Amino acid sequence: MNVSFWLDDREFRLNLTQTTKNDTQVSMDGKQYRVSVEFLSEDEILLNIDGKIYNVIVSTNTTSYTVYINGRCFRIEKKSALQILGQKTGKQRKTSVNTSMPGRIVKVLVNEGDSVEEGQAVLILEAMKMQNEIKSPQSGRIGKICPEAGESVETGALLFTVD
Amino acid sequence: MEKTFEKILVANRGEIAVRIIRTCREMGIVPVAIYSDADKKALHVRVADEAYPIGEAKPSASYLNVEKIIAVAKDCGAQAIHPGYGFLAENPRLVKRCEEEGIVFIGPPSRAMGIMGSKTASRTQMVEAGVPIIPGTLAPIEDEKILEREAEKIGFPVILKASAGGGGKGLRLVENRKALASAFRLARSEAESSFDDPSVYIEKYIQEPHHIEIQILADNSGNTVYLGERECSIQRRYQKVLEETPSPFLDENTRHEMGRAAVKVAAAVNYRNAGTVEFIVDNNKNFYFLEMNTRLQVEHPVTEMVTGIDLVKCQIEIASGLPLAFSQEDIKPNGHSLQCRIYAEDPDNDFMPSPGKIVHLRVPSGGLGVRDDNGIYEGYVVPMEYDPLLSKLVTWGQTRIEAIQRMLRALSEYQIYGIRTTVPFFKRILRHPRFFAGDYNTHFIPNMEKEKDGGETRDELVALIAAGIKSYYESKGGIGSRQKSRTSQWKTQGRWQSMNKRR
Repeated sequence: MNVSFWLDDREFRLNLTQTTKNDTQVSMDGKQYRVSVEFLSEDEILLNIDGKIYNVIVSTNTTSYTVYINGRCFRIEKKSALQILGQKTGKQRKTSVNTSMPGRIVKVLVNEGDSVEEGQAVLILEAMKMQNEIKSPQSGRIGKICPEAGESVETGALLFTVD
Repeated sequence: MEKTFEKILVANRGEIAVRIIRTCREMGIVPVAIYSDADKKALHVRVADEAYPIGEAKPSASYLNVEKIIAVAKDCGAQAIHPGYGFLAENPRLVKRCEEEGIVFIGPPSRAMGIMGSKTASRTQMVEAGVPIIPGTLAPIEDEKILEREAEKIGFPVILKASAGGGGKGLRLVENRKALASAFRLARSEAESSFDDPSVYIEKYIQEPHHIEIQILADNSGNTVYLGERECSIQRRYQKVLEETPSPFLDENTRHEMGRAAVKVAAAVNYRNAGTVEFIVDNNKNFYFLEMNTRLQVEHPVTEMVTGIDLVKCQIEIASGLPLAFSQEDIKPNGHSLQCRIYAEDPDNDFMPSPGKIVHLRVPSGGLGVRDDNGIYEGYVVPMEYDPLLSKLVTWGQTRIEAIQRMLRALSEYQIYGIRTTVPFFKRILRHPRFFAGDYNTHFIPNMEKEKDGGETRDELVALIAAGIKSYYESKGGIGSRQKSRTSQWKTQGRWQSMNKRR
């Protein structure tokens, strides 16, 4: 079986061939891996890759796999190449900045319609007692600023757009 | 065991509240927890004997609300309050209110706390006592003009610090004149929101510094002892992340000189109870008084591991009026200990906070010399309102290398999934040749972060293979995709047993 994943805007192609009940041959980037698989539960997998043991957790939703391994977390996208490309071209003019963490807006430093430089601080977000400057990813004009000072935001919430 | 208190209110939350509750139990004292709306299901509530709600999630309405805490203590009949660290631990107002209400505050008297709580007042006092300090202003900076003049006088780089600060909050390094004004504003704003006081002062930044602190204990009978040092130079954004004792940098002579200086610091303010004197040590082993933390420290367990002394127990005994059960000569540190502060932060994304639900938790096996002081459990939702410290993982070894290897083993077993944590970051530090050699100062982490992290590449490869395997089994409709019954095994077991009873 062939599968194709996206991780951090890079595409990875895997070929999987089951050899015995619990053993699978995986090839990726021209390299071969012998993988033996034990499902400990629906999400918890004990992998033996070429003799090395890995305890991983893989949770699935419709568009991605979230893999926890060695204390790290990877979000691996199932999306097709076309969808990714579509998003990329859409990004070039108008950029939305979303928050990667929940927190409270301490201060909004610019107004809607202001011109900003790349890297200029637009607002200050406080989470878990640390203040973080949220900067503009590009030079341009601020379109919309969603939250007001004092407001709390959830992960993924739109903070501002810059054209 | 000598009698101390019947009941103690623990005015804190999370892992430190759990840790204090444990010692209360070991001493036969009833531990009382308090909790905010965000902490109804927190571990410190679950492990307490009694627990009382104190209000909304935001700290100012709950864990920082002196009157609510005093009222709970009086209502439930607690004779003493242990403040832990953070929140009200260094707030003289709580101490004063306790004194007024006849409740014992487990910590120093308000006067000593007041002096040490102001970095400027404490430094003035230390100059008088003959303890060396770092060049800088002793008074808070009024405005940007004065700031610029002082900075030029001291010479860049300089550091801006919150007068009421601690724990790295409201701290800014300024490399040059250009960055001064914006750093001043951010430092003031952070100081205001963290400590309710925007005062900031300036001081010279020492190159290649070590951050080393001395633990002291002082009882009410005039005995003050030092319990060795803690090397706290592994810092990120001026926050300690990993501590060890003994310091691989110090020699025996400097160690005892610093110990005696710490006792002098404590004596200068009539200090009582547990406290920590922090020093900056330059590359020639000259040490300067930085501040005194008038409370238990986050990193106190490493001292406990090498001395065998429970510092919280000592705090409680001292507060109840008992003399120290040991003298300076009795304190003989044995072996080596390390502590990793495991935070809910994403080390692969600039340490952004990562609150949320812990969907899977496996903690390391204790074994010999492993201690996991955590405040979490599987299914627990880490709230966004508070400090992101999840656990203090501590190891002990006969040698430094043994303690490091043991820590790597324990970290390899620690699985906290659902949120992102700093576990992989610690593996990287511990495996670093310079850390392993004990050759580091406070620049270690910024320098390490410029290097490439090999671990991530291997983990990424395995993650991709795991996703591939999962999708393969899903496409087959096999075990990995099976919709399991969501009924818990315990429920099934319970139903089966009750059916048997009926027969």
